[in-house]
Amino acid sequence: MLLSVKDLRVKYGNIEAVHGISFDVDEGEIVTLIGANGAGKSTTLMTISGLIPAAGGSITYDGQDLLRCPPHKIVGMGVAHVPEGRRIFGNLTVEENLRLAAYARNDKEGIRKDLERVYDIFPRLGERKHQLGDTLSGGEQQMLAVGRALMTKGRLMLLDEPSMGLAPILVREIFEVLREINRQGTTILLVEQNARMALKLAGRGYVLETGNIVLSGTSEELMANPDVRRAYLGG
Amino acid sequence: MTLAFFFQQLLNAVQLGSIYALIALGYTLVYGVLRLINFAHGDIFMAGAFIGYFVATLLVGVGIGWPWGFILTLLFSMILTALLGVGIERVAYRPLRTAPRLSVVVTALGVGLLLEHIALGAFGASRRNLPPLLPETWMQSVEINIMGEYLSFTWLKVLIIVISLLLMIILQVIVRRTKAGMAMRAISYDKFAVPLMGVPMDRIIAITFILGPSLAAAAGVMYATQYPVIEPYMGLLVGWQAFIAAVVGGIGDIRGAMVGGFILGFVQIFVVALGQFPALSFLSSTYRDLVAYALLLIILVVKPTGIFGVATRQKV
Repeated sequence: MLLSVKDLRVKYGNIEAVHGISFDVDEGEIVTLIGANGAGKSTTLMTISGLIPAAGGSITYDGQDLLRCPPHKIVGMGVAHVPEGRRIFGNLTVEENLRLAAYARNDKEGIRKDLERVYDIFPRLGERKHQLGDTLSGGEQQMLAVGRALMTKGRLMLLDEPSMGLAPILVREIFEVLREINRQGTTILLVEQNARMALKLAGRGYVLETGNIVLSGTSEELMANPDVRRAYLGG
Repeated sequence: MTLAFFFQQLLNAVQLGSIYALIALGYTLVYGVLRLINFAHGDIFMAGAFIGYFVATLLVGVGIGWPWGFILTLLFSMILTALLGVGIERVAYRPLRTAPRLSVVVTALGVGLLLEHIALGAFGASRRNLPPLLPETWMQSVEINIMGEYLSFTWLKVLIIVISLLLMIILQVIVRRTKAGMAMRAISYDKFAVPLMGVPMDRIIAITFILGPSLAAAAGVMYATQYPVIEPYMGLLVGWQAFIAAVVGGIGDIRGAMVGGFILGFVQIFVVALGQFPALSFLSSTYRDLVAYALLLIILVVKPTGIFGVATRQKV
């Protein structure tokens, strides 16, 4: 098991946002957490990557305890997080954004190869490598956000709403790339409001409702479940 | 205005401006990564001058004079003041990383007062002069003939300008060309995502507190060479002026701090210089700061974020 979350509780001040959830992700899988706005999906991802502290429970990645690890160490251990809203550095060029994501790495040759790999996967980033992040379109920014995650050399990629605000054709393009990245060996934990796209991509999924996991199963099972169909797939 | 007179004042303005710019850079660098106005920065400048004074006294005492005495004084003052800066961040600001911003600002004011009163308690209120680190002739006026007019300057002024520009170039290289500099720029844009890039925030913040205070120390030593006034409150007025320079340039922007520093230097010098002409005699040196700040206020009215500043994006 690559990632194992057990009885995770997260609080914002006195308000508990995640009430003891458990789930796991095996090496090579694509797993999705689906749920409505405010269900605690982003909170869960941010707790895994160490941006917010847990109030209880455990997070184990590759046999190591992630709680109490600072976020930059967690990145160094191989957990890449593509945050909600992409969070591109608009005052840095595309290439600087990518190089910054390799901050913890010292393998010059490996960094150069991974840059080429990112430009290979997203040719539009290669064309715009000297442009500032601010000048990119939403789709290009999402590509750059995924590219940065690749540059950290993560074994596990956490993706928070990669479809947000993008035209359907771009969403399909991004999801196609995610499938390819997964085929090349990266495990993916995907958080999405676009449950249909997420379940099509993922092998398994968990349904999160107001801080609790209410359902889990393979994507086929979830897509066939009447509750899921009604609440997340539009009937 | 004659050409020689103009150039002479220009030289004065660039020299004063480069001191302001060096200090303003410290305000802007720290603001860039922590969104904190480090109100102790003027007193860090004072500490740099005091440290320089003791290093210089030691060096001159053992017979090390120009040029090594000067170079080593500058260097050691920068290093020790950088340590002081890193220590202040570690002890006073880091525990408040997640505290409300007002708490940190008040703490910064407190740190400034603490530095002033440590200096006052330990060294007294009397003014001190740096021991002679430069050859006599560098402090004396030199006159050169420009088209029949005499331009008078000191080599010290030229030295201060050259060193300041050199330091600013080095800073630019660090910020533009190194990984740490890239991380600093990224933090100033959006610090949320920076740790997700594998960047150790604490180290970048420490580097910022190496850069800012070491530039302030260099400014302190050079200021003390030019104006013999090392005393515990020397950082107050100069610190405020440099802060204003940073705001006028656009706080958080490195070019802004430099441009703001030079603008302030120019305005202050030329208000006094122009006052020497009968038609402009109302511009006496008494009004120097009044006119200077009025002009700067006009700049801020026209562009509230400063010359290079952009309005901060409010993020959810």
